[in-house]
Amino acid sequence: MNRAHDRWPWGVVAAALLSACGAPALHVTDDFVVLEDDPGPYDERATTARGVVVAVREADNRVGGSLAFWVEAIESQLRLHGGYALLETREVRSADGVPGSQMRFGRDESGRPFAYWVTVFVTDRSLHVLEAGGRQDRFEEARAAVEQTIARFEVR
Amino acid sequence: MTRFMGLALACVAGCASTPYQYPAHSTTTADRRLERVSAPEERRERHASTDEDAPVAAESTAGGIGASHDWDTGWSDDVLDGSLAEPAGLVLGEAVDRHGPALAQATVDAETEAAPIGASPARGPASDAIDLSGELLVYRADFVVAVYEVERTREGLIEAARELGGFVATVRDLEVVVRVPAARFEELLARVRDSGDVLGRNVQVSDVGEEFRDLAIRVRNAEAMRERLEALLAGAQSVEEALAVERELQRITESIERMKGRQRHLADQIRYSTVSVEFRERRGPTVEQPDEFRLPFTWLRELGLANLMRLR
Repeated sequence: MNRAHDRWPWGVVAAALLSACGAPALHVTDDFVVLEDDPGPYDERATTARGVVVAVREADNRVGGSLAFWVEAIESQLRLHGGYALLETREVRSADGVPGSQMRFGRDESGRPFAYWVTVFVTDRSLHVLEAGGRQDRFEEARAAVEQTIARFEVR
Repeated sequence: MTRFMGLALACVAGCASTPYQYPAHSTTTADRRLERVSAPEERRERHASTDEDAPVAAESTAGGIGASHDWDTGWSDDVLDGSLAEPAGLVLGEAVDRHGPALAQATVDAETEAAPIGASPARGPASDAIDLSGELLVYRADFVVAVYEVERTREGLIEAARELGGFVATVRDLEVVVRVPAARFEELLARVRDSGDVLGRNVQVSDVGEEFRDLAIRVRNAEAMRERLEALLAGAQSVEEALAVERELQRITESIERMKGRQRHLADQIRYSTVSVEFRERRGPTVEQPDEFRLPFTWLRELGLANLMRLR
């Protein structure tokens, strides 16, 4: 009994519980390093050596907004107030199967084009927002790593 | 002298109040050009239309204003002076469909007869004329497009305008104004819509037909009056008489120039539609507007590259 108790994978259980209750985490590829000391307004943020950044944050959804509601809210915020051009919207799914939406924006800064992707997953209680952005040319270089990082994201 | 001035004034008053009637056998150069390509029925229709609108003006082919050609807009004055009720060609969108075969015939005439006059490669065939019998529409569209890859988008629109037979009117850092033949207006609008994220647009169509036709009549009448004044000047019996008529000639000539300038402007606006594209970054308004509603979620306002890429 004691030996069985000793063999019980408490570490895994603890990690699973932490994962379920704690802040969302990115599973970045080797192209990124996580900025542990400076997450900014995000729960976690990571950057490539050439300044392409991905970040995730969890926001409260007690108001019960649907995925469509939040997609429209984000689009309006960025297009009408932020000056971003919406280039494409894609339906996506998190690594653990939660449906979401990915909005791909573009915007010029100081005469240079930048790419900015916002991916959102919505559950009953919260929404998870993944952002990725960088100078267009550098973003293209890191595009596969960005896509892979987003694809690895687990909502629950 | 009194008799002479009275005649001159009567001439002016007559032209101002009633259309001057030229002899029925008068035929313009453009009318003759149309006759070579038109069926008899079409000719009758055109002439009837001309007579209905205004008297047929005598073509001053021996020089002077009536025979000049506008190299800037490509509009010859014999087209602009309104003596062509349905002249050599039309570029007003679906006008050919609207007006049927007679107009299509006239278009052929334009291509075969008058294309080289004042032609400018950047602006397409310059001798296309305006059909005065229908609506004369001026098209204009103003777009606001999100700021993204401005240079590429701007160059793409300029290229599109050129492909459609148009040209660039204005280029600034965050604005481009292009003009295309009216018939290609819709195509250019589609190109603009495809070029980026359109935040707003305003399309205007205005009918300047009444003003254009009115100008044509006034120009013809003024030119007729000028000819009569010239005849009076030739027959002047004294220096005083000659000076009085010359003053009137100068006034009427200036008036004709102003009217023709306005005609050329309108003709240019009719022939070429204007499309303006402004790349605008819509920052937060200083006064809260109903259409600028913001949701009360702080994190929404934190979205954007500025926060994401702030690495310190």
